[in-house]
Amino acid sequence: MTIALDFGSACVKAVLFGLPRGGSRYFSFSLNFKTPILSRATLMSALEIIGRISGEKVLGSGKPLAKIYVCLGLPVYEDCDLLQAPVLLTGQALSSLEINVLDVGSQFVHFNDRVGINPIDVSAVVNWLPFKAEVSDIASYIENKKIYSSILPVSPRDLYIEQAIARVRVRDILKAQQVYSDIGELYLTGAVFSKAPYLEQAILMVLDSLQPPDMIKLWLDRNQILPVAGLLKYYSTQDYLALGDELTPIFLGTAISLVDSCEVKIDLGMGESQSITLTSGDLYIFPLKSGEQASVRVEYKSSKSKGKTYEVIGGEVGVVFDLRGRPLIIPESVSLRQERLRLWDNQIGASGQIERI
Amino acid sequence: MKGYNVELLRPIIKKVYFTKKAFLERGLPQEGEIVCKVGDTVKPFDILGSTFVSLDKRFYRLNTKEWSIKVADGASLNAGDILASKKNILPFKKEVIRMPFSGSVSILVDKDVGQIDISSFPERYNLISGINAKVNKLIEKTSVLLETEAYVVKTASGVGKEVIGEIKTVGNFDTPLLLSQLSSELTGKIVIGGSFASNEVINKAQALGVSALVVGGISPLTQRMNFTVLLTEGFGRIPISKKVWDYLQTAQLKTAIAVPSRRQLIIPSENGDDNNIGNCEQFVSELRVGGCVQIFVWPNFGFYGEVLETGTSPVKLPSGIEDVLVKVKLETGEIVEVPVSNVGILE
Repeated sequence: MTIALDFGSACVKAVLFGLPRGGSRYFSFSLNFKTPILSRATLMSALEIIGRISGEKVLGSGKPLAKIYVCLGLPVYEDCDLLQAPVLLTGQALSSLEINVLDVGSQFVHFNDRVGINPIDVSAVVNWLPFKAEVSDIASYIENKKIYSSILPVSPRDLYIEQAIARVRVRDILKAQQVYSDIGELYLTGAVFSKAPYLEQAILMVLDSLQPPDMIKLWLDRNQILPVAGLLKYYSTQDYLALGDELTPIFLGTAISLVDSCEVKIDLGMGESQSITLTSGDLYIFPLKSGEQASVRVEYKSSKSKGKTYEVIGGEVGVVFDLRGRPLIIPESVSLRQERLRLWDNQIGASGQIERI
Repeated sequence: MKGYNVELLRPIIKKVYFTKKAFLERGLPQEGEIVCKVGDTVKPFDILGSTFVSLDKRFYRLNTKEWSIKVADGASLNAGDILASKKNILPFKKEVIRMPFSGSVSILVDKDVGQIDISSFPERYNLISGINAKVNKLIEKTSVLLETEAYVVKTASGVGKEVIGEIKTVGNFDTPLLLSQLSSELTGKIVIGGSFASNEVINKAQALGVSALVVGGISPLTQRMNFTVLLTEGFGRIPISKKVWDYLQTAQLKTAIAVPSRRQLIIPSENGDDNNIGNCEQFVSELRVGGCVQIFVWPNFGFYGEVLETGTSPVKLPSGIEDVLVKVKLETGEIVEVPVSNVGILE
């Protein structure tokens, strides 16, 4: 049997292969509060819990009965003689996948092998909230979340706070690590993305923080399996290839950033193309379904900008047109800012009120 | 071995536990002589080591266009001697800076800025054990690691440095600590009390020479300070856990050590104290009906209750996220439903 473990700050994700009855199993469970730094004892405790969840015998006489691979976010794990291979940092595991991955966990943000651990600018978080909030309340939320990492946002207010924190943290890592925002394809993982109630929220968080200048294709790892997948690809290609299709990230769709008001012609290859007028400052979704392809011709109304054609494929959300400009400017006036954030939420369907074009 | 339901696995919260091996580091303020040996048994007033140290150090930074420095570099002065005087001031309005204590002076002048560093004459500093313990390890000339049996109160967060003092509970566990509850009787004490300590309360405690505060929460904006505060629950106004409060009430006037870096309040045990509250091994367990939980979601953040019922499948929360719900009867008698992810199992 092989067990691949990803120790996040809030929970452990585990995949078991080569079970006596065949097949594989995937599950995650919460870690203790306030334990960003893991110890060897925790690994043993985790294995005991995995045994009790799975019903498989993974420990015998205090030693693992399986081949175990581990990845985690902090470079503090002591070498463990129980493991067949050295512990990998999450960034190492992610970069072995050879795709662009943005992983927003409860304590760390990873962009491929780079990690962001900077303190959060609370006033920047407040700027992403579509409601009035005291800096001290938001600071309390952030600090308590550091202590009780696995807690979930219950109210829409708490969810907005978590997603605003994610925007700031992603923006910070991109800035600090000088990551070029023109990334053609991006996989999203970590709780804030994978647990987002609406897929559109994951897209909006990326558009707001990454601010891609042109076209980007987005995938969402709902099972938060990518660190484990990277770990397996690094150490055991055979097990990596055996990961089930149900764990594969879903394709959200394509987002295109456009610089000004324009006319887009969407050709689905079924006769006449659809023509839509898009206005500067707004967001739009065209519901191109998974598996569908289309050619999108953009013609700007102003002669300053040149037209362009994009070949796009549909996804769970579709094609998003972002005409809010680069860099994205958030109004300074509190009321105007809140109004604009609510409008964008509604336009993209991130509040559940979908206004598709 | 019984299997776990993964959806009901939650962290175990050990608020207070007894351990036979609590470790405390006692250090000299600067290099000196350590006089104990590994394996020694020490009592609270035993000397572990000593050094000579200036107990008071200050500096003055002055504009030399406005001020004349009246002492030479390396001079030894008595308390009250003049260090500097302001230029061009009428004699009857002369403004001077005097030596606040007896000690030595060092002067550094760079362009128009002069810095006067003053240090009191070195005095003997004895490093006292403070507790009954066994010497576990020595770091040559600097510190001693002590091993002791102790109760440990595990807190959510802490700021400041390690301090020692007698425990004194003040006020109540579920109301904020008030300025009027702090008095000079609390100097040198570790003061336990209140769901919240404001900036003003923290400043007054520091001015009174209180060793440390242990409260439910503080504002996260007051974290950077040169004073020791342990937060039993987190940030904001959160009642101190009743279990912690009840235990600390029984530990009044006992010597304790606040260790913010490990988020612990350590109370070395004395003979007869060994009523094991539990040890700290397992980190998660399955939520069960009848068990006690602590809630981590407003408006009941920090509250405790008994599990009445656990859900069987996830339901959609107002945020849109799905989770299994658990029905909890609070200590107040109120019954609330909270997501299973937002509770911890209390032992």
